[in-house]
Amino acid sequence: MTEPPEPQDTTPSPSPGVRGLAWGPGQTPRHHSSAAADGHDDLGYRQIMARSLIRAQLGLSLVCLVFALAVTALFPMLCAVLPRLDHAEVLGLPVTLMALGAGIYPVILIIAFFYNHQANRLERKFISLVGRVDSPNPDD
Amino acid sequence: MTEAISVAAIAVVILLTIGVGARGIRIARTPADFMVAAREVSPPVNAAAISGEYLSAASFLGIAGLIFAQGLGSLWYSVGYAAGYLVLLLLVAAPLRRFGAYTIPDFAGGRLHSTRLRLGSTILVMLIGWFYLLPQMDGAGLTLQVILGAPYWVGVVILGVVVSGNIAMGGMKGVTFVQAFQYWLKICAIGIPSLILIMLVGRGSTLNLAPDHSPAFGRATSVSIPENLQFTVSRATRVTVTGVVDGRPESHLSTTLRPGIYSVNAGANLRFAAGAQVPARIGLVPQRAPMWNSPFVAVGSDGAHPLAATYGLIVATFFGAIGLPHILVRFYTNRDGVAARSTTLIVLILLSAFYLFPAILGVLGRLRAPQLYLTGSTDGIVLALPTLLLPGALGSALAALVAAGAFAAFLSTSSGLLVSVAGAMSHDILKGGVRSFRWCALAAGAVAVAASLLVENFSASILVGWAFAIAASSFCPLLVLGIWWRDLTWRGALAGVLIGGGGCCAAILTTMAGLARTGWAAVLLGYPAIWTVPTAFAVMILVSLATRHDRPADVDQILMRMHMPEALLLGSQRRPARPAPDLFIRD
Repeated sequence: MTEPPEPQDTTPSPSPGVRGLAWGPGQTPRHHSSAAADGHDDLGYRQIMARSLIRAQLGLSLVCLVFALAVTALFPMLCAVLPRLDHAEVLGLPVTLMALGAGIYPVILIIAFFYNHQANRLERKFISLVGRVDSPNPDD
Repeated sequence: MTEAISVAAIAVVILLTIGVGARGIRIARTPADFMVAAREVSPPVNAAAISGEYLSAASFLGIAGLIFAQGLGSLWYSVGYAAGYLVLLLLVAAPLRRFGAYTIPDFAGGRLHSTRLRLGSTILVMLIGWFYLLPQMDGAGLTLQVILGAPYWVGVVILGVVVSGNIAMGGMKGVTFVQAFQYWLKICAIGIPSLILIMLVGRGSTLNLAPDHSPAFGRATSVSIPENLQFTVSRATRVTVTGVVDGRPESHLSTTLRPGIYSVNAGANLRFAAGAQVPARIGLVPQRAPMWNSPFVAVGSDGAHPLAATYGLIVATFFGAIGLPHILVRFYTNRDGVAARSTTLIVLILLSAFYLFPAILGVLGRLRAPQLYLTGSTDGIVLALPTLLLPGALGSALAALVAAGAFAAFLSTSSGLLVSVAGAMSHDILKGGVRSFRWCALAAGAVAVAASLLVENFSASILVGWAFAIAASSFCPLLVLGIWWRDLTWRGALAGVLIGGGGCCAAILTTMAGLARTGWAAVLLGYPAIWTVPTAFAVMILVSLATRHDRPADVDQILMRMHMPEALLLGSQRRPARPAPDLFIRD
């Protein structure tokens, strides 16, 4: 359980395994002396901002999830409504084989790429927003 | 010849796994070592390790076999296994990494502070783990049966002894590299044979893919019967028989098989003319199922309500991957939440690439080796194809490669599962240390071996599909609501896990016992996720709302920890990471 003493690095950086949340209720970032003086009001807007991030992330996830489910669930539904569909051919092979054996994977990957890009963008936007609110004149 | 090469290839895979695992013991001795080493794992290596652990007997043998035997609707298994990771990416990947739980009971305990919920999750982890272990053992038994003609139990016992012994000695734990290597071995072992077979024998008639067409021999074919079996003939078929059919010994008898059921003894030889319909082995091909190229999964003995069954499978596989017990720990080896997302994205790419090949092999089997409808077994198609289609040295070499890949699949998945099950037993139930972990590994392995001897007749993909259904109706709502919903309480979570997971288990046991074979009962009990997943979510939400006062006081802090980017955590406040559970301690 003994970790080597860390250099007292004040630059916020992605640090693995860190469990203490500095940015949260009851705690204030040490590197902004102004933040410590903000007191209770500070907690309120932090909470609100955090919730807005969680809501935005959840919205993004749900939009992607509903889209993915709609695309995949639509195919069996179409086949049930149009029974002749499974007689159709693509490049001489059954349409079911082409759609489920190969065609669906690019769709899944595109959704995943889009989600990753958007989720990371939301977080970057949030970090810069927090930075601006916490320290109008960044000192580090 | 084929036997010798295949056995050598399997032995090499086993020895490599044990060897690299043994090196892992020396390299990583303490939880801190594990953590430090883990942090250095880059997303591509980590993603290969996750995929290596994930691609099991069901993916390697099961899907191609089901496509061959039951039809293109079985492609939903591979689509669902891949899409499960999309859902995992969308809903839990980054928050789970940021929460920092190693296991699902860890998450349950840390998020809702309830020892009862923790215990309940632990029991369910063991249940899902065992259920998922069955098809791996089953696959090992079958592989040696197909390659060597060894009795089914030989492969089961060999895999059980190797895996539980290896884990009890301390190998395979946190050894990301072994799992990453096994992904690449598996994709080569299924990809190279698929591509070579498609190049060499892929050209020709695609008549057997035509709708409303039952499979026929493309050319005159002589079929040797490997074991005593029964088959059905649905249209009068000319055949030349040598051997014992329906109890009568014949020699070069030219006859016409009228529609009906026949039994034939091992060693017999049946010669069919080109264009003759392939008789169907009883138990391999469903008697009344949707057409082979329908997009629905086969269900029950009457094939009723295929659309509902298909949606049941979609729900189970899409939402089941989140709740599998051996997946979560790998997310902790990511550097941060963003890396967890990148890793999951790469996993999706690796899985998508892999799942192209079972489809190729299943379809190739129907086109070029329809005699397997008479002699094959669902999970044995992939193993039998290379030598059947390419007699000679190349076929033998490809068969050995496939056998090695199959064993890599059994080894990697069952190792991951057994670590989870033994860890849950020793850490959460017995509260023991490393000694108890070792005994638990052996005991859990023994239980899995004993249970596998009872499930010889179930397809690997169907068994794994059921493990997904249980996970989807218990742990999926626990994790998703725990991550995104402030108002979840431990009572709500426990009620949801018990009702959803319990209902799903009961439905599956009923199906396994053969009590529901037709109509809606077969659909709702054979593909239970379609109702157990919504039920579990509803119960969790309603009971949580009714017990609002139980909401943990620190819920806002925990939610923030799960969703805030690490850049907002303060480097100077670094605390030592929480000690890893005992299963990672090696001395």
